[in-house]
Amino acid sequence: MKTSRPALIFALLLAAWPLSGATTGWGAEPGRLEIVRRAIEFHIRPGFERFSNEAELAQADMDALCAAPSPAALENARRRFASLVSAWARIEFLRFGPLVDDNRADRIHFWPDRRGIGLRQVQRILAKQDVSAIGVQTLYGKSVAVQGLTALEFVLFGTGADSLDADTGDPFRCRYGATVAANLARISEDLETAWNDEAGYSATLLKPGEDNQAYRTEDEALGEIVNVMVHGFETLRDIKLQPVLGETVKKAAPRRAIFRRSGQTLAVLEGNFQSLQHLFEVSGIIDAVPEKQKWIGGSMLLEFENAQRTFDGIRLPIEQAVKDVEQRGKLTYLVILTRSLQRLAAEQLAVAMGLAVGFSSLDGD
Amino acid sequence: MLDRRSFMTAAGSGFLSALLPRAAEALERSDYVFAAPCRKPDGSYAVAVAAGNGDILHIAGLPDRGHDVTFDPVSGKAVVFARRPGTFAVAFDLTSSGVQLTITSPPGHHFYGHGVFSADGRLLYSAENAFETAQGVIGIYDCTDGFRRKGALESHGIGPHEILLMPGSKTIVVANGGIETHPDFGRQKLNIALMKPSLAYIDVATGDLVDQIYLPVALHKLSIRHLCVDGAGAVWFGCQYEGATGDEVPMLGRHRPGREVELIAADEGLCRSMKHYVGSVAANSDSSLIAATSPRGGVAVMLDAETGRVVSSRTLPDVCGAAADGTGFAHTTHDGLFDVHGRAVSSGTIAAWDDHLLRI
Repeated sequence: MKTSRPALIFALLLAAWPLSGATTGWGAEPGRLEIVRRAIEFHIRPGFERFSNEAELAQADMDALCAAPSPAALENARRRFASLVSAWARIEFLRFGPLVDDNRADRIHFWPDRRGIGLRQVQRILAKQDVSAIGVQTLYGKSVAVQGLTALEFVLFGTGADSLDADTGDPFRCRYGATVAANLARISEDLETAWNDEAGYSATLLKPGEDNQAYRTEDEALGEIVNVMVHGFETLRDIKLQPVLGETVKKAAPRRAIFRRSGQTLAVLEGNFQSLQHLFEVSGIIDAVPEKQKWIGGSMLLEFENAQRTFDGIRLPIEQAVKDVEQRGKLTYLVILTRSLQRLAAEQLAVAMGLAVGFSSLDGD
Repeated sequence: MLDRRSFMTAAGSGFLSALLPRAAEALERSDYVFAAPCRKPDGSYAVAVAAGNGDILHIAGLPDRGHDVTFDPVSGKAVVFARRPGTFAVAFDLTSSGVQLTITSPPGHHFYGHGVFSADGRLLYSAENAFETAQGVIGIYDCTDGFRRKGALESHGIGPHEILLMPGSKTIVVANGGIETHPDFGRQKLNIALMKPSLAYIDVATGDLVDQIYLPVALHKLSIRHLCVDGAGAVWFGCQYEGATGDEVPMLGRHRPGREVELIAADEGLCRSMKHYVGSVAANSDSSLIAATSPRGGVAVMLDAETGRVVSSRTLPDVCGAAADGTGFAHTTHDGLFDVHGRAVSSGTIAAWDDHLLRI
């Protein structure tokens, strides 16, 4: 998808492939669309289903908190927020089709918010007790920055959030949070429905052709799946890791860390890596690579394992980890892994499948 | 634009005597001279001056990847800008065999890759990002004083990309692409949902906004990025779309100052063949044709400047550069081809041409 991130261009190197698979001796390898089908069935649909379930539960927990505020209810809502964010981390790189239609990805999570635009808007809603933010319909019509996870995180964890645990607290704040959760539940249900519809975007991906507006060839459809990995690693590095780490300890900027208020930064990063590994494995993409280049699969898995081991070794919260020499080293190693994995996906995997990556059109002018 | 004779006059004997015999011969046979940033086979970056047949006349190293070149026929100086978010530009003095001077953007700014000289050649304007506030800026540099920065104008939008001088030389037209980036976040786009691209006309003397054109709200994700001005003073613009893959949107448009903006209808299949991405636009010498390229779609398109209809659409993988070559166009590609009227030549000295090609 070419929405909020740069896109790759793929050129067909083996013009006849895969039509003549049987005669080329590559007949045992699955076709390109089979890889795409597995990605949809085993990764994309379960991911959106899980997110939709979590959003529904988050809505219920927020409603319960507003109906009967208590420390336990607040704790419950906060824990649910963590699992909702973790479900989001599993699908956020799937930025094509339903997730980009109607700015859904931005509505769900307006981030990075470098200039604090969304945060200021959320704070204004809370300060003015803007009733138009209470009600899913009117909230949906407001800025995309005030209706998703950024807003819900501030409601539950931002300045003043602790007052939510008692009747004497801030009922407006709670109702705004509950509306955001309801909005997320509605959007996520729409996403789940859109992906589960056999005639919907799944068909767009699985039936490339001249009359298909999005994908003309099987290569383009498969390229979309490979792009998820390539751009996923790039996003991890360029937006989530490097801006927080800075070039030196002194330049570290932990306030830029994703979901830092809720303390979910590392969980989200880990979920991102795991989701890309999951997509890589369940799509069986390596099956479509000729025998000689199957080593790429082993190399990628090795790097995924390195990433997992690194996450297991990060014990400090992100604010401290970026300033601790040893822990910072681990985060820096994750940056290296994103580079290595991106290169493996873009320059090895894609090329081995006959999807070549352009020199400059890779990421635009 | 200059023909060979004027170029040689501008370039002077220093440039010519510095040429190798073969290059001098190529120049002698050539009607036109071009300049473009490029990548050499060893992976280093450079800017090259080429004869009309693609023969390389001169090549000079750059610290990093370049994007576009602008030329001042008065002084014979050319400036190549770094690709965004680069912070350098290099000035070449063709009259003294390519003496170089590096210009750096001020702290807190980076270049966007495009710039233009004032008509008298005394000032250089460059598209810049004041990135802490994401403000689009037109930097002003004094060419008579070592390209010292003299000041800046507001671009009146986020992400100014290509800028050109309008006929009459009093106004600069700016393609405010609308996309926010910050060097700490690499080249990631930070505001897609909030994009508001525009075409801004700015009085260079006062900095006043003379006119500003926005596309319809439904097209707010259509980033206006590349420009050419035809002989009739119409501004042609090429766009890049940040919306959904399957959306049918116009990729090109024309604005005749004082009139409504015209979008080139998508029913020509342009949107699809160009894959939502126009890399550059150019007008031919008599402004009867407009060229538009798409490296993503691998197509070079020609439009009738009168009607806006597609005259031809040619497959040319990785094509991006386009510049007038008499009645037609020369093109360059990211895989190192220099294409003159459909005849592509590669050169051992160039591995890849960068995005833009300038006819000097």
